Amino acid sequence: MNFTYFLFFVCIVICTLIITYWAARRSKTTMQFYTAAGSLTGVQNGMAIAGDYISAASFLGIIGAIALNGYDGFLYSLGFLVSYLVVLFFVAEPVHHLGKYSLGDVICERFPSKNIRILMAIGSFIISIFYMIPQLVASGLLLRLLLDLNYSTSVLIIGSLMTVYVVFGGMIATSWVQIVKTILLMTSTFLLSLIVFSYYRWDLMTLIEEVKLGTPLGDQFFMPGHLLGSPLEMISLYIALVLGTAGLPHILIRFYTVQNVQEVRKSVLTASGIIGVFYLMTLVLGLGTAAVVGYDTLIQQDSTGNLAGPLLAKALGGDFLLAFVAAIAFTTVVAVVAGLVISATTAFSHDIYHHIIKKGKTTEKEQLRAAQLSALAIGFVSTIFALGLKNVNVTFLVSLTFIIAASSNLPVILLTIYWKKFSEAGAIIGMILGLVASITLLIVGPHAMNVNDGLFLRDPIINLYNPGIIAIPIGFLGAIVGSYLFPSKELVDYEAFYIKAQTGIDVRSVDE
Amino acid sequence: MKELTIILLERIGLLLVIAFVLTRIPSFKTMLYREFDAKTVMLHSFIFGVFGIVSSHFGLIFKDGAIINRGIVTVVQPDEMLISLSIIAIVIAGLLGGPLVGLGAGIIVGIHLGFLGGIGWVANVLINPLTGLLAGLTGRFFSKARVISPIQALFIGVFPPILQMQLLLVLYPQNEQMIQFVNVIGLPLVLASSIAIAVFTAMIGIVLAEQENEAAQATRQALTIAEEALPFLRMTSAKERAEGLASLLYDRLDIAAISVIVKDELLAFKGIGADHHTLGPVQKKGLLLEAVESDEVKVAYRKADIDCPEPSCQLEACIIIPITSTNGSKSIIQFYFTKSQHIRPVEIVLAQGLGKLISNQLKVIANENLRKNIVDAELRNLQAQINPHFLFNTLHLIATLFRIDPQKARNITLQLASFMRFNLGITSESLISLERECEHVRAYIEIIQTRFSKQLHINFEVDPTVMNIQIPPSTIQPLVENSIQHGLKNKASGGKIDVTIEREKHYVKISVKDNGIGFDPKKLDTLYQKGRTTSQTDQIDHGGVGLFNVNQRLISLLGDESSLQFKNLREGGSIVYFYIPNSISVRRNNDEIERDDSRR
Repeated sequence: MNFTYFLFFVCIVICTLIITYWAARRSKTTMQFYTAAGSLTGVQNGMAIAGDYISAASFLGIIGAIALNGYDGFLYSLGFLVSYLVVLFFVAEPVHHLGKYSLGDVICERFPSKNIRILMAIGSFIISIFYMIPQLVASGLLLRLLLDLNYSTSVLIIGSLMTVYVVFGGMIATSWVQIVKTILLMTSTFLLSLIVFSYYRWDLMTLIEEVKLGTPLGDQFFMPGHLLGSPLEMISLYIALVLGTAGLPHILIRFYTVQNVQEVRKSVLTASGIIGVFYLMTLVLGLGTAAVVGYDTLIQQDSTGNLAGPLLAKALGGDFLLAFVAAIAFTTVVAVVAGLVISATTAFSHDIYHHIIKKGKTTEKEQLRAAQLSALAIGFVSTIFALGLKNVNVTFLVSLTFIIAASSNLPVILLTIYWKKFSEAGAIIGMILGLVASITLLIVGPHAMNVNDGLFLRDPIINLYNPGIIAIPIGFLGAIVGSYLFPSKELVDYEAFYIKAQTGIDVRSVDE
Repeated sequence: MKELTIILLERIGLLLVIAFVLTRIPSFKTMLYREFDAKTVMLHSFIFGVFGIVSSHFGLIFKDGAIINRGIVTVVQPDEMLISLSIIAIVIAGLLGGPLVGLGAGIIVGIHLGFLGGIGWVANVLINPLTGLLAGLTGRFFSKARVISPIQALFIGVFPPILQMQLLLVLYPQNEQMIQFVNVIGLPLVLASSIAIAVFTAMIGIVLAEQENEAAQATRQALTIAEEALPFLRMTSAKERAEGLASLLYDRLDIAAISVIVKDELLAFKGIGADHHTLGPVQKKGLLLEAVESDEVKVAYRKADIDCPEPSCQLEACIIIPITSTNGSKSIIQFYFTKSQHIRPVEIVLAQGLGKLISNQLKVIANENLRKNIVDAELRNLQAQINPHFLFNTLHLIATLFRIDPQKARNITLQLASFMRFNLGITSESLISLERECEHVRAYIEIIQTRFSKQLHINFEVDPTVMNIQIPPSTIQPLVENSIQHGLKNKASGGKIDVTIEREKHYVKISVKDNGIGFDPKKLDTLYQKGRTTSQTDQIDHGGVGLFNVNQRLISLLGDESSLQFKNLREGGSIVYFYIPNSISVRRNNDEIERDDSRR
């Protein structure tokens, strides 16, 4: 392994461990463990959200997608950005007002039921784990490419790092690892973009001409239609991306880490600002890759295009720059998986252990201990899974998580907050239907049923790579129809709930 | 690459030596506190700018893909490239002094590098101010403490060279030489810079710890000295107290000389110049007076400010520490130094601390004594109230008198009542008028006189104009009692006691004279001191508990000048007397005084 790579790698590891050590000394209560005791500012939280959200797949994958597919690659990235509008306008503030630690808290504020909590916890847990495993697998492959480590070592390193962050540092460590990651990622992509521009003497037209020369697509590079052939697939993908983000537990629990609603808004604005700028820069980097590295070299190195960023760095600044970019990619991976571990941990130890198994009767100390143990277990299990799934194409799990989030979590969250006639039965039916529909559609879709390399070697029953367009309406419809069929017997004071959701003022407790 | 790293580290070693010397400059320590005005920002920018310029000359030269080690770089040819180490200095400036100092120092170095020229000079010019600014902001962001930890610095130190390399790539695109350069120099520079900055931060940490230790040391020293001074402070003789304190402080502190002035008298002097700093009265003026009046520690930096008549005196500076005791009297301790530079802030702080501690100790001791005496007085009064011998003897006397002189018996009964009533109320007030005290004495005298009419004669003479003077209750009667029980113990007849209260200029003198056996001459020498220093039990053995108690109350309530004086008279017998200032009087009507007079 190249010494330069190794040094940068060690540097990042040390930095994150320092953060964890520092956080561990502050992470003494359950509140601090789950939510950093609301100590972050809006801007910090926004940076952490961006750090949570921009995965290695985005950083490396989107650059590759743009370099290979041109316009469509960029369009793909837009979906990630637009989703924050939904988060900002519909979900962020009510979640902050209603919940305490987990997403289950939000729904149980209106329907204080065991079943709902279990379902929400399972949903969150599945989403986090399903999102984490492909991240781990991908990062294992990535590190193997970048640092020349073998797959198992890479996965073990990342798995143990993320576990250490969360077990010892809880939300504080996770947040700060993510903040550092965002700063590093943004500055490095910015500088890399500058180098790309200066490479073409700050002349955008030269860059565009060079791009046309570098890609086999030629002029077509700047036209749509290369990545997402069918409009149905495209719309389906977008719906899942845009709605899914608003149901992702690891993003939503981040809104507990700030003090008040102004900071919540600031978080979302900062996060979407950073994400927007980031995707703009990936566009530059994607174009730069196409122009400087060229299509053929890129495909030759790795057919998925994931190495676009590193190859560009190497072409522009040699090994030194490449090592730096690799280190950034590594930080990106650990920051994202740490966020997922804590979200899965919250769902398990807060919802299932504390509320269901112990019926809310655990001491502060036991809760903290349970949370740490769950984090340890979750980190361990995910790492084992990732090790075992080395040769399986698990990328479909990422789209699955977005679809589950959009079809199972989001309908329930939205309807709970905004629909007066929503009932407990409706919530349960919606969640189960959404979950089942997403998983079924994926199994019968081309990801799993594939003549060449699927789990089932046959033609897919429904030929949609992104079944969101079917699953999401099922989730919503299930919830609505369920509510009409089984309306709430006791009248919950919706007005009071709504006021609390929108303002945080608890009218009921005032009346008492 | 290894060699290059080692060369760079060697260079940085040199820089760190300079930096180390910088940290030894006393004014450097002020940098560690982040309260800056524009002037200090400029000054610090300048210092670090110069440091940065020096470090750029410690750099290496890169030419045609090879590193040239030219010792100290003076000139950079147009086809050469300078590997400047200045960003290390600049990062340190930013981390220590904040964004503005970092920026300022960076601009200075940047301009200098611009003039040095060579390939890549534009990047060199830009990178320094930028790094300084970013390092300053990062330092603030990461750490609320004054100085970030070395490990954090290790991490932060990685990024400036990375930024520099990227800037080079941005500014010199499509340049194979530049890419080659970045690949060769990038990592060694990252390593060297990171280590250098971490080491420097550790160095700062040590300076800080040193500084804090110094302060802690001074505090500890002051506390220890205050503790050790306690036995001396407990001494009741002002002279012994002063001498004890002086020699203790002289031993413990690194000072040229020390003097102790109590009130207006130099009571102790130790150290250089003891030959001409003679003990005796001192005229307070200048800083001395200022210190006493403001009750604050003053420092005399000039020889003229020291009150020393001797021109050849080696003492050139001193710290004046005023000490206030409970009775309001002011003492002064002075620490002398042979050079005014010897007075560091630590010394002044130490002096202030000591002054406060000693004042407090004095107060504590005074309170302790007072409390003890009050307890004694209460005890004694209790004894007096129920003193069975006195009571029975008197009752017996009355019983006898009833037969021979009923009028007298009646009178004595009244006097006994008055005496007992006075004793009952004695603890409620700390000072009473002399008039009441006299009534008490008179009652006592009358009873005693009647009882021992054959054996002794008591003469009580009072200046009627001093009746409104304040006096601690039951001070005169014990003196008379002492004369009867000890002085006239063996006198079967012809005993004579004179109680006199007379006015003397500013004082009222109260004396009790007898013609008894007098004090044991051996005891008399030490009686005055003994009455004040030895413990009470000793005194009880000598039967002097009454005198001891009276003396202590006089001192604690009226001050040293009111202490009891003892004398044996040439014609035989002894006299015990004391003065009370007539300033603490209560205005009373002349009528009353006249009435008193007439009653007498």
